[in-house]
Amino acid sequence: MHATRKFLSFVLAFLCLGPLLATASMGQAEAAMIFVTNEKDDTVSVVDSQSLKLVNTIQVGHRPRGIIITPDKKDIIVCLGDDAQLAVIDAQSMKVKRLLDSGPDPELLNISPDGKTLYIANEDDSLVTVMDYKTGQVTQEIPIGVEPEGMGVSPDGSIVVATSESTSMAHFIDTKTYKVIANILVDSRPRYADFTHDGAYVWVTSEVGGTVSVIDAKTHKIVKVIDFEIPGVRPELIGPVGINFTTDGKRAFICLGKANRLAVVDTSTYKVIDYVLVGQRPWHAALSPDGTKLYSANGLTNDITVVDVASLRAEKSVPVGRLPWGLVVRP
Amino acid sequence: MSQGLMRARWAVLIGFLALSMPCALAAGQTKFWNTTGDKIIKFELAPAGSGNWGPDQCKNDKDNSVDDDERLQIKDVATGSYDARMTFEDGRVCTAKAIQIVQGKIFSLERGDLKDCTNPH
Repeated sequence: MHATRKFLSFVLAFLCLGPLLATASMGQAEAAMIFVTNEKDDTVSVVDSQSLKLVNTIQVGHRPRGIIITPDKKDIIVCLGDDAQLAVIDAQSMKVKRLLDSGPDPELLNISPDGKTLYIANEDDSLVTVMDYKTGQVTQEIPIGVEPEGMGVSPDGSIVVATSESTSMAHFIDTKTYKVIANILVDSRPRYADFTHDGAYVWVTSEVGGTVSVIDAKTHKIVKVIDFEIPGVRPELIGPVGINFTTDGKRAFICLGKANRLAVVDTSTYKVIDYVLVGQRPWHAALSPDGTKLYSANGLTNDITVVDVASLRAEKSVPVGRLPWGLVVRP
Repeated sequence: MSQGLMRARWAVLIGFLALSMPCALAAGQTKFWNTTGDKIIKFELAPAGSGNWGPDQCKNDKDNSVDDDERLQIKDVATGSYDARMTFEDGRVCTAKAIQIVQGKIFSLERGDLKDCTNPH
């Protein structure tokens, strides 16, 4: 009798707790973490994407700017401009676990699709540093134009496109030979390069020029220059920097800097569909893992803005540290 | 000259170099980090309260200006308290009072630090 009661209690408890446990585990699976570099605080803020609460502030080195997540989603790598280093943060424990010597003033970086090779823009010495991620050894230093920043990697990893701000060029680098195979002149101060999902085109933003150049990845010809007009905003305030293609590749969000907006561009017609007002001076943004939300880092309002990708509405701003610069989302 | 004297001179020279090199390496450049959000085309410093404005430090930059979020090398300024006067690209002139500058270090100014701004063009 006693044993039967005990068994029934166990069954009852399981039936009651089961749905709760299932909900909790589903919630955990859905909760992504947004990692934001705060250039002036020497920190990375971590924001829970569901509660939109700040859950952690990680002390890293000096002047954190460029930030990426490795393809296996295990590590987050941050450029520390004033330390000539990269900080590697464990994406789960949120602790800095490695420091890698990157060469002077790393500003932005990218990683090969296989997660083995890092490409780092060294702003002060006009180099792209190539690093074996596992060993931390620098394997190549590729001279390009003055003030490198953008670092796009093709989906198959065979080409890297680096931009040089002062030279106003996009440099195509073959990753087998590490030779520059094409130098493409674009509008003034190119700061970011990204390949379309199919690898056919490279989009390059020009901050001072106020445009985006779309370059054919095979012929290296500029096929389109996209420009922006916002009623009531002076043209010189429109400074395109970051690019994010939607998951289906049909649209691109362009961060417009001091215009305080994200432009939404149709990738087949190159027409601007809308401008989304966010915080002040967004330079970079990141998509949620399911592609439904976009988060912009707003450098002058010290916050991030959550944008609904379907409705193109800014939903909420979340305070982070001082001078937020870049961000990634860990699933 | 005797060999002993030569050796002594070399030892003094090597000792001097060994002592002075770390100091030289440690002394970085003094830099202004523009975090005002706007491009500055003229940047002057004066000892706090003196009104004795020094040369335009923007001349130290290759394009004679310092963009938003960029650094500007500051030359011939000793550690101390200074007022800064800056002209922005849109014509505004603003000042910042009693900022602390340490030789070899980076200092920054934000929008909130700016006072007495004139109107833009």
